[in-house]
Formats: sequence, structure tokens, C-alpha cells
Amino acid sequence: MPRYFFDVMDSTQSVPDEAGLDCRDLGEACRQAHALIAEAMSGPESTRIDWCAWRVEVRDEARGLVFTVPFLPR
Amino acid sequence: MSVTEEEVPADRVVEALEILLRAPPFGRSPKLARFLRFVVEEELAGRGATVKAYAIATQALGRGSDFDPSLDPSVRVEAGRLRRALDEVYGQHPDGLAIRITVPVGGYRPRFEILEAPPAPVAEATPDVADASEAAERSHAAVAGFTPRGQAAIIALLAGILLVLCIDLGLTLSARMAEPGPAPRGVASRGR
Repeated sequence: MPRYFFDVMDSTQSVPDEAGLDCRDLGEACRQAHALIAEAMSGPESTRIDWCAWRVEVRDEARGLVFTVPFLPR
Repeated sequence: MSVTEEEVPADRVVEALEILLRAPPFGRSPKLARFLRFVVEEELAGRGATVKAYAIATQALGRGSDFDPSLDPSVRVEAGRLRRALDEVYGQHPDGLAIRITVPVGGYRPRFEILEAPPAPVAEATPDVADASEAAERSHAAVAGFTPRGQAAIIALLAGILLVLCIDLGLTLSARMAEPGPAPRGVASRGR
């Protein structure tokens, strides 16, 4: 299975993905990106984070950008 | 495999932690390895309920003391990646991993559960010494090709044949002994 990396970022900060995740296809990679977003937004502590500015950049094993998923739909 | 809810000894949790940290996802990401080790060790030290994003960021992820969890989602994001890394490792059923460690969504406190291995197939069981004689008897019966009831019927049949032969022999001998002299009427008539 191909491995995809899910880098999380806004305009100033970045949380790069070191481990990556094996996904059967792009559909599963998209589902994993949405799951990552949902969990990040439902953390245990309250935040003042502007989620509109955040996105997940899904990259292939060569670290090429495959697609981007915004935290909140525009 | 299934899980049980009983309390898990700390040494077994540590053993499982070390196996997990040698697995590929944690080898690729030292950050996730430090995250997992930190929350597990805090839980075992009795401080699991008080672990917050700030402590994880500053003590496990190398962030500075100015880390602000209300503005920086990095601990939340890494927690999501940690859950997927754990799922990936447990999905591969690594040898010796008898404890399941999870970090439920909505917190950073790990849970520990004992994994129960599925029962071994009967065909693979090796008979011990105590079963050797029984196994030998079964083997003997299998070689003979008869069940115990079948064997009893054959023995009864053979005994019946032997009885008939004995009676016939007895009658023949008594008839021959009677030939030189005049045979009593009753015996002669029985011999014919």
C-alpha cells in the first residue's frame, strides 16, 4: 500500500507528519485526513484557534503534494 | 484477539510499550515515540489524570515554555497521529504484544487492556505423556478396524463357533467309543 503523509499547517505554523500512514487509495487518504481534523478539533482543552486558517496537506512518499483538505469547508 | 478489563500489571505495560516503540511507525517518528512513552509513564506513575497538552508539548515534543495550547493545535494533531500509529501496529499483530495500549479520543490519558490470544486449534495440540496409553489404545483400535462393540460381537461369534465344534467333537468321540461293542440304543440313535 502507498504511504501518505498528513502535514497540518496554517499560514505561520506547521505540524509536519513524520510517520505517515499506509492507505489503500486516495479515498482512504481523504478519510484519514478528515478523521485527523475531527480529532484535532475535539481535543480535551478549550482553544481560541481560528480553525478556518488550518489545513491538511496530503503528500505522497516523495513528499509531493497530492491534495489539501481545509479544517473547515469554505 | 479479544480484550479483558482487568487491571494490568505495570511491568506488562512497560513490556508492551517497549515492543510498540520498536515498531516501524514509532521508528519513523521519534516525536510520536516520545509522546507515547510520556503519557504511558505518567499514567503508571499515577499522574495520568493530570496530564495536559502543555506538559506533553514541553516535556515530550520539545516545545518551549511559551507553548500555548489554546492557540497551537500541535498536541491535538500528534495525538490523532499517535492513535493511528497504534492502530497500525496492533493491526500487524507483532509477536509478544499481550497488552493493548490506547489513547481514547478527547483526552491524552492511555488505557491498558490485556489481549487474549485465540484458543489454539485442537489439531495442533500435542498429547502429553499421560495421554500416551490412551492414544496407543485408540491407535490399536484404529489398526484393528473395529469399534469395541464390534470386537465384542466377533468374540461372541467365535465363542459360539468354538462351542458348536466342541459339541460336535464330543459326539463324534462318543460314537467312535461305542462302535466296538453293542451300542446302547439311546446313544446310537443320538449319534446318527
